[in-house]
Amino acid sequence: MNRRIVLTLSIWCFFSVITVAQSPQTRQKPADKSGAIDPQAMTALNRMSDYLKTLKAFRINSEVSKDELVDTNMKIQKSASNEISVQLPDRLHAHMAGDEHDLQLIYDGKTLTVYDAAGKHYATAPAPPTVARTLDAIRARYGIVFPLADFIQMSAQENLLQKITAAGYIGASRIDGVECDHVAIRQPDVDWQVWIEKGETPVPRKVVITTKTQPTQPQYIATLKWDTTSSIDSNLFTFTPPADAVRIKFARRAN
Amino acid sequence: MKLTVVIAFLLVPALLTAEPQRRGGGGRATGGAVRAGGGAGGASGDFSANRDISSTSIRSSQDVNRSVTRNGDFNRNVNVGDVNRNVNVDRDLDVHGNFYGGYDRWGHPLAAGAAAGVAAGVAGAVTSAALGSTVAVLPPSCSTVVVGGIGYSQCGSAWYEPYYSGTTVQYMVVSPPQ
Repeated sequence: MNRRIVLTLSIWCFFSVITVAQSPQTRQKPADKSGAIDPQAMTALNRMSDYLKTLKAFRINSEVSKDELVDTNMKIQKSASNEISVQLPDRLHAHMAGDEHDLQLIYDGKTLTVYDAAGKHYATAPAPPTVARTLDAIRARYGIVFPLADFIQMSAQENLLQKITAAGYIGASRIDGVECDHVAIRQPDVDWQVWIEKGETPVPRKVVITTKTQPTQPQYIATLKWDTTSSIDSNLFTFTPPADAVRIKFARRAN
Repeated sequence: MKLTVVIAFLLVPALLTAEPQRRGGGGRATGGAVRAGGGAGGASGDFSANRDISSTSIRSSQDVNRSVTRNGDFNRNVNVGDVNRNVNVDRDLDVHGNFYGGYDRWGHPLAAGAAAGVAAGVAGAVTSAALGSTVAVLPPSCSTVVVGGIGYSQCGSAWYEPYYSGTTVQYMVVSPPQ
């Protein structure tokens, strides 16, 4: 009988400790869940999206930092420099140089090629007829996320702003000395922030993506330099394998 | 009540041991040539087996898959420019159970490579690695042989077929190509 009381009491104590421990979080929830979509933030985002849709050909130089997890949950930041060239509707090129890799992705309107300059391996696969569909197809089939694919998709008329559950205007900021609007966005799987240039050319100058589906919430950070005026050498979009390069295949993702 | 305690004690070690297995071998996949240690200047020891990384896109894989399905682009695999001799060149490689994660890996071995390495290690020495198993790094002294337009690596009596898993090259143990 006595034991029963002790047991009941200890269970009660246990749960009350849990409740107490959780209560601050519960109190924070309303602020966190503000669900609101700030019109000022959406104005900035739509300005960017509308401007990107006017572009037909552009280049982006991007410096990237990306969290990777190694054993025992240690976060490591990887770095890369990406040079991206886009000519709508059907040409893409990316040169990605960073830690342990020197890669090119080339799309000529018919095929996609991945070339690893260090290992001299390349693989080619048929691709859909447009940039927008190719970006999605290579991700779905092969797990290849083209660098800054989101902004390229925006320029290819895709509306990527419909998944937003909350958006806030953080304030004015400067990236590379240029005045920007800093906007923060919440979506189901990721939170992201973007710094949009003020003025006539509202391009994204920085983006941070926080992955909420991973317990350690790793981040991807990219700063972007845009060139929307120089002409792009069309040879860039054609891959000619070097004499010593070896052709291999792609592994297709099971679907 | 006693029974509950006993069950709890039984459960705890079971959960603890299940964790590393779920992680695809984690840092244990470091034996010999099948070590998931990265290519040139890769990390070593316990820092070798990468697991999850940050997403580089604001879109979810489900959204992308939906649009690809809508456009009929997922299964489109026309064999462009086939010649009789190498009809299989444009066909993708089927890798069973080894494709892991949907992200671009920046030249890092995948966790799946580590997991396959464990399987190969369990099966025996590297020289008798199981057909279909995958390694991130080749054993030393291999030569490249092109068969039917596709490059293979011959390492002693073992043959490997390199392939892109995302943008990372992996090597699958295969029978000698015909």
